[in-house]
Parts: sequence; structure tokens; C-alpha cells
Amino acid sequence: MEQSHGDERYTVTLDDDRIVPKLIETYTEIKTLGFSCASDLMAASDNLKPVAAFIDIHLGQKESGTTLIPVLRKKWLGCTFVVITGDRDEDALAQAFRLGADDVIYKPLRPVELQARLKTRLKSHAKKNGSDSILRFADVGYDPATRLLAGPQTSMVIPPLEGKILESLLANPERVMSKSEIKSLCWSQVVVSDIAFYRRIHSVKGYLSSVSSGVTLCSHYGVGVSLGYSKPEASVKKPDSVTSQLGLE
Amino acid sequence: MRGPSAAFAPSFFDGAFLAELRANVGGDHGFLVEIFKMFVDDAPQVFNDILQALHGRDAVLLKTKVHRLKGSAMNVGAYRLKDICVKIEEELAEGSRQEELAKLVADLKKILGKTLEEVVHVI
Repeated sequence: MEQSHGDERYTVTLDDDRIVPKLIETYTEIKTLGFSCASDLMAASDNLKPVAAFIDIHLGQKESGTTLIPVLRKKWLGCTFVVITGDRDEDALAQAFRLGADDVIYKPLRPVELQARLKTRLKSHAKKNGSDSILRFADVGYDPATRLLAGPQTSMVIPPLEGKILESLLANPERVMSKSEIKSLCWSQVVVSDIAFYRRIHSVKGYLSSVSSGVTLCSHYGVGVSLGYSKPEASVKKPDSVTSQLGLE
Repeated sequence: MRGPSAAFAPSFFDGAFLAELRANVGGDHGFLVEIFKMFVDDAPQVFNDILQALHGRDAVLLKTKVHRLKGSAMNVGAYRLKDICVKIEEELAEGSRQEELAKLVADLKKILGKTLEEVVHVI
């Protein structure tokens, strides 16, 4: 049974210090369910649907909270993942973001920072988390809020820049987009080399081929790129499987 | 609202941090008592784990427990306790010399004792 607390929103905190959930609950003014070890949280995870999860990078002896993020992100679509740390350990933070963390907060916890970050995140997710925000093309769906790309083969969280590229292409599904247009939409004022540009395009192509049976990026020499779809010979899963993978059923 | 006596200047806690913490919880004395009680209850247990790890020469467990105590110290503004934990973490990162670690853990014990004694004055 899913833990609902009526209509009440709640967060989840994974930290071996029980002061942390207490402070988070008080500062965010949102009820939090505190877990001190990863296995307890994983055991309960199917019955939870938090709006945000606060996860300590360094847990017990061999546990790192961040390794749970990819698994939990698939279960808790639309949830904001915030990692908590007392260190400025760049490697650990980079790993946390690679694994899908949305944000970081440092100890000691401060309400102004916590509230500002959470409010912005929740607002952004509330706006993007409705089914209308899911961008679809043929058998793939992409949720910009969670950067979850889903298709009949599998689903995965893709990196932010690749997400932007895909988002711009999905927003213009019938059109060939020029290199300069994509650069401007995704890199803004930053000057980006063609090598770097095509490296990202190649990554997007790879992600699409992993999740989809027929969607690909088509290059149009001297013009730009567009999304293309060729129906595979073998039967594909029903189109609503994308909706299901994005947790909209 | 209750609070520390005006004359008391903490040595083991960051006074500015405590003032901020009090303001953050809107002067809710009961909440502060609850937070500091958790700290007072848990920190000695974590210190026992640290001692056990030191005697067992278990550097991984020692690092984990010192890190845990550092986090708690930071959350309640116990800055001297945090500082000694940072020193131990640095020592561990440099190669875990047992003698030096034992000395630092002895310092940690003294600082933790004084910190816990001071709790009653700061809330």
C-alpha cells in the first residue's frame, strides 16, 4: 500500500544522524520520514511517493547514499533528490550529480538555503510534472523535469546538456534544426566547437537507440539534424508503455 | 522564550551559530532542547564506536564514525568538536599513524566532555 498521509506532501531523509530529519522537517515545514540506513529505505521505497528526498552522501561504513538515487528516481518520478554533505568533496559531488542528484546542501543545515532550494525545485517540478510536460515522439517519451528518457526497450536518466538537445528536437519534431539554432538554444552565449557539438549529438543518438526501436537522429549535410523514425519490423510494445515508464498511469 | 543567561559566553559552541539556530526555529525552546538532547544522547555512543575502531585499528570504521560525529557537531554549532574531528579525518587521509590518532582521539574525548558539559548553558 502506498504511504499517502492523505493529501499531505512529505519528504524522505536518509541520514545516520537523527538530528538531520528533525531540522529538515522544521525548516521546510514539510513532514519528513527519516531513515538511518539504506536497506530500510529501499525496503520501504515501493510504498512511498515523496516530493523530495534528502540523502546523505556518507552513510555507514560502506554505504553511500548517492548510489541509491538512480534506483529511487525510477520509482519516485517527479521527486527532487538533494544530497547532504559536510565536506566540499568535489569527486563525491560530481558522482552524486552523475547519478541523478538535483541539488546539494551543506551541513550545518540552514533554513534559508534549504527553503529556497526546495521551494524552487518543487515549483519547477509542479510546473513540469504534469503529463502535458512529457515530450513524445513515436515510441519515446522524455520528461524534462526528471531528465528521464523512456521507450519500449528501457528508460534512463540522461545528462543535462544532452537533455536540452533532445528537448529542443522533441519540441520541433517535424523540423530540421540547424547547428547554430541548437547551439544557441542549448549553450546560449557559450562558444562551442563543432567537435564538442557533434560529440553531444552522438551521445543523444546513443541514448535514443538504447531506449527506442526506431527513433534516431538524422543528419542533413550542411543543414542540420532532425528526429527520424523508422518502424521496426518486429512488433513493438504498446505506445502507452512510455506513459507507464514515466509513471503517469 | 527561555535561553542562555546573558553572561554566559560559550567556549565550545559558536555563539553566532546558536543565535541563528534560535532565530531559525522562532525561539522554540522545546525544539532546541529536543535537538540538543539527541546530540547529548548520541554523541557519547558515537565516541565509543570511535574508541572501538581505534583499538581495533579499523581505519574505515574510524573514518565513518568521526565523520558522523563531525556532522552532528556542525548541526549544533559545536565548532571545537568539529575541528578536532576534521583533524582526525586529515590524519587518517595522510596515512593513519596509530600513535598520532590515539593522541587526537584523547583530545577528542576531552573536547567532547567539555562540549557536553556546556550544552546545559547554551540552550
